[in-house]
Amino acid sequence: MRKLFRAAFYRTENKKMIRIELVIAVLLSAFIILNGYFQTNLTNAYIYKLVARFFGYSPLMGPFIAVFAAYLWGTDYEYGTLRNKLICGHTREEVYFSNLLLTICAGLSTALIWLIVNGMLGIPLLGTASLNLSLGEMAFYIFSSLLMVVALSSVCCLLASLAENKNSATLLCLGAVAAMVIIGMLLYDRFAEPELLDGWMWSDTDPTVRWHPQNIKFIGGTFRILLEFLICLTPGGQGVILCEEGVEHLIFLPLCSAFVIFSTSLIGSRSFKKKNLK
Amino acid sequence: MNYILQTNSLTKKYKNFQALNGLTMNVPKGSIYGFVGKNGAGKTTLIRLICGLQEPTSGSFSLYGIRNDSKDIIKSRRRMGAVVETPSIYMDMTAEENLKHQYLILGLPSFDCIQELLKLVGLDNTGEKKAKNFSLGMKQRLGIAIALAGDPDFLVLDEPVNGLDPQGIVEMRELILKLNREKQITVLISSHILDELSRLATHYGIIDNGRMVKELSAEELDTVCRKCVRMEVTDTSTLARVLDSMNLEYKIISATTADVFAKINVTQLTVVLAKENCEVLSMQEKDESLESYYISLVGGDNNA
Repeated sequence: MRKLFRAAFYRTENKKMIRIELVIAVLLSAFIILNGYFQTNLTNAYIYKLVARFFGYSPLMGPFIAVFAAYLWGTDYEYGTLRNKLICGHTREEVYFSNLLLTICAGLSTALIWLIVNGMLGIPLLGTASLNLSLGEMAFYIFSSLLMVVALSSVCCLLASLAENKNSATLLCLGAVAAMVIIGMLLYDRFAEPELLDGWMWSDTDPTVRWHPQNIKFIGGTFRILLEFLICLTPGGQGVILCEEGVEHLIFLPLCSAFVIFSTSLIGSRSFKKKNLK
Repeated sequence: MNYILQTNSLTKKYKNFQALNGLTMNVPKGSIYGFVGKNGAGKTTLIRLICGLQEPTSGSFSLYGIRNDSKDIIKSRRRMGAVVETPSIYMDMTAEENLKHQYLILGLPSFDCIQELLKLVGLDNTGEKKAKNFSLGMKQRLGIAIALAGDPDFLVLDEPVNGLDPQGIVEMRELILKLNREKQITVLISSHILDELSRLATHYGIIDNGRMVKELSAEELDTVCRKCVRMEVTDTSTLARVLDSMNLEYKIISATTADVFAKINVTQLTVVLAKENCEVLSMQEKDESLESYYISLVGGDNNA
């Protein structure tokens, strides 16, 4: 597998597409921090929380990883170069996991670039107070978000390996990533509904009475835990919940990512092993 | 005989289509094995199976004596190179980069032999030109160079001259002959172009509907396709006696038909036969090629 990884790395190291992806990550990350800084200074009313910007990359990582995985698998299928790897004696598992490993490396390096740019620009501009997390919590969040990147890479790798060419791989991966983020957002919207609503009541005697009626959309109890688990289970949803700082059970983050990584790798390698190649 | 590849009742079935139907073939070591068949006869399917791209539905094959269900089949595949259908190359890389990539896949310690390999296939002057800008012949040759990267002793080429211009075909033929003669590489070629194949092959396998119709050596084909005069006479025993007395080579086909493998003086032979009370009913010069032999075996409904 080491040989395949080195070869795949050689193939991608000088590719324009990879450099463009990294430059976009740097620019987008810098733009989000600067935008937060100027809005804070201009309005003076709203303080940007750095942590939300810090993990703002989570939902945005999907397209980066999707494009990379689709490129990696798609070109191999389209040019037939996958054959070269198998004919010269590599197993299908080796091929699958070397591509997965490279996708993970690409995803993690993009995420780290984002985090570094955020840290370098965000902390001096917005201050450490805006992080509103302890160092331990911060480390846990970073670890969980990086694990989410690995989970997203595993999902994209599985989908791209099922395709037959570059275009279908790209469509499949981008479509799935978009669907995961949308589903995650919809689920999170429901999850984020407050238990009590904030309302005002007018009457002849006392014109303004503040009251807090029960929110019928609020989900509580076991179903709430299940919903949170579901959100964390889709890497897109986990990106949304991380970005919104909405996690109630922190353990769900690494647990769900680990489950996604394990299951998609197992399914992906098995289905790739059985696939009829041309 | 020492065989590189042997298949035994190999079958491959897709959903509604049986691509291989109990195919049995033997590729001798050191040969150039021409694999002939119609479109959809199962040539590429067989190549995909031996390359490990697909699994057979039933039956087996052995590569260097190692059966496909053995774990060691992966090791034996390391000794082969293949170009299946289209050359497997990265279009956004140069010829040298493509070979470097393949060297890394193989885990070869240095890139020293790349220039030699490029020279062997005639691509040593392509410089920074990307493979997407290569002609079809150049792409085919690069595909072969990649297949040769691991120094294999068995090369599988699926339709290597398909779409090439006459110059490209000649170059490809010379390259294959060079690899076979100078490097002792056994070559399995599937091709539609029977005339071209007949200039190369030392052995033939004729496949139809997923089955091996005939497997023969070039010598055997020569015998079958020898230029001859097919004679129809009233009595072949008399004809045989006369031909023996004239020291001519012949083969009795039936009670009234015989093939004579020599240039004969028709008048002289007819006169002698007439004296022996043997009438000549017809005489026809036969010059069978691989193509006509192939058609006689599988029928001429479709093109090869």
